[in-house]
Amino acid sequence: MKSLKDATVLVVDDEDELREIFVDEFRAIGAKVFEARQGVAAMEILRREKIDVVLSDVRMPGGDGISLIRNIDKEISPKPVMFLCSGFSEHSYDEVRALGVVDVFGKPFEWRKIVSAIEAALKSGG
Amino acid sequence: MNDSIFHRELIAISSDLLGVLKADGVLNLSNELWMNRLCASGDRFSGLSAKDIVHHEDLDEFNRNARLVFETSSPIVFEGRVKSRSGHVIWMRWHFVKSENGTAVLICGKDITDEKKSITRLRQVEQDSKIGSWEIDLETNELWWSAETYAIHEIDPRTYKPKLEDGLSFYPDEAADVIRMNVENMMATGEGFDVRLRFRTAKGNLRWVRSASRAEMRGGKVVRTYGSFEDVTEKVESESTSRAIGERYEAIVNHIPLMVSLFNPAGEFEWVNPGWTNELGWDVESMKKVDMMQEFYPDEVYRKEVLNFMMSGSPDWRDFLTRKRDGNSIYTSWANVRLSNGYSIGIGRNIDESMRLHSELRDAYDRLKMAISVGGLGTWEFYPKTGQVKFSDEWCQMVGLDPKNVQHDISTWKSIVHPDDEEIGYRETYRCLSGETPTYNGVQRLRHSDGSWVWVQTNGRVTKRNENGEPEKFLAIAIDITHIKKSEALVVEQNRVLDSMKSRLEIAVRAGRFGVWDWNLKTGELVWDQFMYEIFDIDSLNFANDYDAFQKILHPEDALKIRDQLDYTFRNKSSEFRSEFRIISQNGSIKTIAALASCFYDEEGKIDRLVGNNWDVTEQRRAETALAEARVEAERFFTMSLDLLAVAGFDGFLKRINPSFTNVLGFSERELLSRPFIEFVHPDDREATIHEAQKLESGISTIRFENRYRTIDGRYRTFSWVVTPDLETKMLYCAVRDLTDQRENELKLLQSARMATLGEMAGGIAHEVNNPLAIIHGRASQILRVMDRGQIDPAKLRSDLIKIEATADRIAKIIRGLRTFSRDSSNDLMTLAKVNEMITEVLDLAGERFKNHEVQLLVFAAEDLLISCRPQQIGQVLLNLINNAHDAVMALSERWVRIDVTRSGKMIQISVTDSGKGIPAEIVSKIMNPFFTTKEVGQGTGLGLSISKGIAEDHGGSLTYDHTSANTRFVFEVPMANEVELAQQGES
Repeated sequence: MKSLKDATVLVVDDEDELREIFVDEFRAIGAKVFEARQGVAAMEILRREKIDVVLSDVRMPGGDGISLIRNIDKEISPKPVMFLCSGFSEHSYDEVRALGVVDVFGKPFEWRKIVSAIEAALKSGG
Repeated sequence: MNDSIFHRELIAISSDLLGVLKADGVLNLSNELWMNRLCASGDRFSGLSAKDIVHHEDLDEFNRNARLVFETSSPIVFEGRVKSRSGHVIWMRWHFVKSENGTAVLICGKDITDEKKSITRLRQVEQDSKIGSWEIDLETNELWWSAETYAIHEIDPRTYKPKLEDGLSFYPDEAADVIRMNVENMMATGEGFDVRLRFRTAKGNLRWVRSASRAEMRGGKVVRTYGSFEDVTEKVESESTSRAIGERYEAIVNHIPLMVSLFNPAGEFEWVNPGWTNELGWDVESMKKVDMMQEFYPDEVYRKEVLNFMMSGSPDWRDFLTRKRDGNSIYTSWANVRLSNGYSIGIGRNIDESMRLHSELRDAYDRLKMAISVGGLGTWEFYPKTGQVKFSDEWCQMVGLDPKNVQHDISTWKSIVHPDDEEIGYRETYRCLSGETPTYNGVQRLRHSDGSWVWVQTNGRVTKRNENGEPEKFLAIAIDITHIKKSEALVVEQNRVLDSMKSRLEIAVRAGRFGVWDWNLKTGELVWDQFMYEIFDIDSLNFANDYDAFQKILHPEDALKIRDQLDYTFRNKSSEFRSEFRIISQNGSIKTIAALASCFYDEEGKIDRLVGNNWDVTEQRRAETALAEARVEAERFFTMSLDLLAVAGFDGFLKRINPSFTNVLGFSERELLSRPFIEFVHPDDREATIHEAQKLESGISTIRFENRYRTIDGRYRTFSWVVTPDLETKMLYCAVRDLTDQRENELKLLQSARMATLGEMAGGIAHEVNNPLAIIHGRASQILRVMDRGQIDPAKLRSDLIKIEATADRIAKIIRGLRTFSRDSSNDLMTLAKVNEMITEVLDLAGERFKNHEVQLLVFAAEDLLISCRPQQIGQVLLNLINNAHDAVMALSERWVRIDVTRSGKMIQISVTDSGKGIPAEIVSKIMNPFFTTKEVGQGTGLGLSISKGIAEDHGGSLTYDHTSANTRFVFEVPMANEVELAQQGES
């Protein structure tokens, strides 16, 4: 129902440089963007703001991506569309899908694939 | 015919006093003897008067009687005293006769002094012996008692005069009757009596008396009776006591199973006891009719020997073979007791039974001797008191010595014993002699006269000790075990079997389990002793005593064999027959029997007789079969073992090896046995190997000693040795494991352990690499999109490209860190490296994990120090320490790791401390061991610290756990680069 340009996006990554790229790109599309360096800070934003899309790194000091997804599942309703982004994960794809994650993007990534995946998820009623 | 000329001489020699008394009172003595005895001087022996010689008290009687003879002319005899010249009184019985011419009285005096004295003495004796006397005056019927008789009657002689009728009143009725009867009889016949009667004294005491009486007859009439009277109470009582004793002895003598005889000084038998008659068949009546000694001892010489013994009165026992009345001889043992009256008592025992037992013992001993000669056993006896050693013929033969010329002392043994075996032989024998060990067991090599070594096992013990416990005799059995010793690997087992065989043999001999048989081939009769029946387990009634009967018991498969062996023996006229065969006993079990027999031939050379022994060797054969099987099995293990097995000597040579040895090393068996084994050992390992061999020679076993052994192609295999020494044989029994493959595997494992550590970190590294890659990729995509839109801002583009470059450098650093684990760096050259740089590189690699787990990482490095090292290895150590510290604090609430680099003299100390509180004491000693780990399965290999320690030591440093630190702290020390190294570095 919604498209990315109308959506509110939360980017979580401890790598400043990388987060900056995400923020630039989402803003360029027209989305409203929040950013956090780790899971605990992200949860604070999620409790405060109405977030449509979460894109989070997996490995982060002070609350990794998986914990963040679990906390969203517990606390936040309605749930945002959730995506993970990982350079190397000990967690399997099926495992994270079971937690309600739509997709996991490997690093390095194709920006267009990310955008089209998010668009598709939003369109299918997220 | 006138003999008057001799009268004077007769008078002179007369012992009587002769004299002439004239009517005027003059007395002339006629013989000189009496003149000298009575007169004061020799010149006055005529013209005396009676008063000169007669005792003054008797003078009146003397003169009165002389007058009477003159007046009546009838002779008078009376007694009176004279005085001797020396003043003694001499009693004389005077005989006065009137001379024919009537002018003188002829005097003849007889000296009766002695007679008088006897009477006095008699009185004294009566008093002393308590024997009284009495006399009856038959005219007056008055009774006269002596003083002692009064005393026995306990009555006072001053107030009591006995009467004949009173005499009887002292006796109880029966006794009085006896006395009365005897007295009447005496009065009638003159026969005296001697009776012993009960008697009651005047005071009423009951006594025993003996009353004896005699009668004097004259003209067929009793004219006088007198007698003795004696208190025999004590005698009667003691007699009854002696009678009781006598009865007791009689009972003993009549019932003991001993032969007792009484023989007189002439050696004639006077009495024998029932035991005598029982044993020898002779009673005393029949013995008196024959010459007993001849009956007992028909052989003259032997008889004389026995007689000498009898007469000697020796109380010691002596054995004789005595012939009984039935003609059979038995062994007897005799002792003599000489009695005071010259008689002797002979006491004899029948020792036939024990002698027979003794001879059976002898037989058993002979059998043992036979067993020894059959079994190849030798014996010797050692007498510590004399130093004598008696070697048996068999022993001498064992070592090739001539039994006739052998010297029976220790020097014989000393001259042939192997020098290495001598001392222990002495020592062990001494231990046994002193009682420290009950038996002596030893194996020695003895030099045979043919120059070869004979292995002899000796078992001995002290068979006799004196009362102080000092050994007097030591008996040893020696057995030739050379053939056993030849197969070294099985020595122990065989000794054990031999020991048990030997003891079984001994038991067999002791139990007399040697059957004896006698086969007369002329009559066909086959005689067996009792043991034969026991061995063959057959009742003697069921055995027909011929060869057929024997053959029926035989195992059918052996019947023909025995027949053939016998035929062969007889054909060759062999003096000895040996065989071994099986029999089927009644219960169906099969026994193996050994036979050894002597063969006897007649004049024509035909077999006449066979006499031999059988004994049961079933157990022995069974044991031997088991042993043989055990040997084959052991041999199979030896041959087939994949481990390398060997027997080596203390001399440094391998003696025996199994095929694995040659398979692994490639050398032939001959090559390996012909050279000292140390030559095959890696030169660097030789010193340690020799040291280990010395420990073995002192009896300490080797457990997992490792060295490298050269193969035929010049490479080395790593061997792990487990070795047990045998000090007696000076042999080493070795089991060797080839660890070469294992060592290689361990190396591979080490590599993969590194890979595992790498894998563990791979996540972190991937993340670390992929993040910058994503940045580069993302920036590049952005730039492309901006360019596509034609909106290029050169300043922005430049800043993005600089970021891309920096991010690529970040990746390069990580890749450089990974090299540490890329390959085996142990053979890298030593180079100078900066400590701080190495630490930084490691932190680049490990940093991600610390960041992810929020472990604080602190580094304190004062100055940039140089060390000479293999930098990759040092990196491994540091990474290992840092990762361990990281893992240790992961679960803690306080999480930090700090690295300090300090200088301590010529060493550089890199310490890694974490927020943990130290390692538990129980595991701290194990942490450096390979494969020790506290991490979960899959989390660590346990190799980290052990490898790190090895690297530290390779670099001349150390890796230690700091026990003193409050927090967990490891200290890695390496030497600082020295000036020479620094100078070289400068040149290059």
